[in-house]
Amino acid sequence: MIPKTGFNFAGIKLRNPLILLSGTAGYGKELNEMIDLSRLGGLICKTITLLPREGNPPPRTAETPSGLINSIGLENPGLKAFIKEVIPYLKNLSLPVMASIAGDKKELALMAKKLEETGLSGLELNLSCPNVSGSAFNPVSPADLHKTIKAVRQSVKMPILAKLPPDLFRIENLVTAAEDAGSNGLTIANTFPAVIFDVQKRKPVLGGVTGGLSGPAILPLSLYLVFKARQVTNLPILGSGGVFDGPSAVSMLLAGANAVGLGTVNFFRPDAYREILIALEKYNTL
Amino acid sequence: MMVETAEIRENHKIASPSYYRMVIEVPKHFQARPGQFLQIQVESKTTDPLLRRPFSIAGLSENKVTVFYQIKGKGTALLSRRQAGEQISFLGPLGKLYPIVPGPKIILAGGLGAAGLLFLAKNLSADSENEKPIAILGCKTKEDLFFLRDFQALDIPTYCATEDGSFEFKGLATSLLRKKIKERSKNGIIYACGPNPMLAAAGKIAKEYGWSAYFSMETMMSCGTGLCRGCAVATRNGYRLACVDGPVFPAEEIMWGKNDSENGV
Repeated sequence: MIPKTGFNFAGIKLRNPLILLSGTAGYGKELNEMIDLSRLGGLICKTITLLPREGNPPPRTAETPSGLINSIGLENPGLKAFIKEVIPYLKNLSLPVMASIAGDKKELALMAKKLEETGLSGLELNLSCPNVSGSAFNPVSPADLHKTIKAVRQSVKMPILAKLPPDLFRIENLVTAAEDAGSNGLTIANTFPAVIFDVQKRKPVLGGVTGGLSGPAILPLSLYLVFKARQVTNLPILGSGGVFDGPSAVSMLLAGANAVGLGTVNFFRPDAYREILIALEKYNTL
Repeated sequence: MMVETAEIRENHKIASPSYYRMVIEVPKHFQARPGQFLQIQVESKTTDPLLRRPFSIAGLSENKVTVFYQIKGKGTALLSRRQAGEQISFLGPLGKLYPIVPGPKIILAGGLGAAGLLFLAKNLSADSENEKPIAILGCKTKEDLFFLRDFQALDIPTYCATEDGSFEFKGLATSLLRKKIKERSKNGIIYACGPNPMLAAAGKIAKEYGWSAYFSMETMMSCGTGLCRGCAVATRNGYRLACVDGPVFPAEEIMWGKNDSENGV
């Protein structure tokens, strides 16, 4: 349900269930100049890491049928610069903001602690970026995922959302592991690992070779993941992947999500929220 | 900058094989300067192609923006079918400007790179406080020189280089650039847009003769607004984004070896 006065999502008060997803909304500034952020429910910042990362070599993006493959490589200014230079701006935005963090479990726990002190609304743990090497960043097994989330849970009291990998065959196990470890909510899921080739040059298109697929192309897969997750948990779910219009947003709620993520759509229809809000209003009153 | 809607006034083929000019009527409040670009949604009824396409602003007068394009793929093919009178969505103006500094100026355009430079040439030619530029248009063959009349109409000296020698200077635009720089004693400024190998060569020539140079970099661009961080250009200050930090960069900042040599201009 979407009460007019807002609703509680994983301990975060949202005006409505539309959340701008990490990596597609920058640090709020760019979109704030383009759209009315006070119409959205929340914003999750681009993922930060403990130390700055320069990101992957270009080309970093490639278009596919109804999709986009990116290999940005977690380019970010690092925790220190984020706290000093970005957070003061975020605090003036007209919607709740969450930080997104990536790293090994020790780094995540440390970053979470520092970010809790800043008073941000919540934290998303990016446990599934396809564009960084090293399994420490991507705990692919339910057991590793549990350990990582547990480490953060023990470090902070603030709301945390675990952003799960789009593992079509183990999603239920990942959900259960995240819930047991104390996650307040789940973001399901992330971009799907993907690769694309330039047939003229006979080599991969992206500078980082592989990337993550997003956009309307992945909608049915994201819906499947949310649908399967809902069968094993009562945790709030932020359904994420491929929503671009009213029907796709309503589908996400039908699959079992409580909040709807807007991601790649921000790149091509940054004002899609208008149409989506109307569709969600209708859905709620029918 | 907001999501805007314009009405298509003209959209037709101007040269073979598939060069088009499109004129759109933009809202009255719209303002733009040379160097800036628009992200145009080629077709609103489909998600394939998914992304908007970036186009240099080639001219702006009386709320009408001119852009040029060549059919290269699905997006530009769809755009070429759009009709006068239809509405079209765009984001813009986006990106940074060509900085205007005193001194002799040479505009160097490779292929469709001439589009954005035409806007610059027009403003410079009408600017009484600045020295008039000269323009060098480089193409493979004379059929590609469809910008020539637009530049000549501005009453600035315009020189052409064709790789096959079918019109004026035979050879690369950068060879002609070297010749024209030699004819000028004072240090000046090069404004250029075109294929990366041309820009890399022009950057070397600028350095050799102590000229400054500003290049508009064309890269694969997804959002055009700084959100996706996809359009990275390798510079001496790390990766910068063509969409918000550029597309115009000082030539000496660009790390040529680390950028794609084929940018599809």
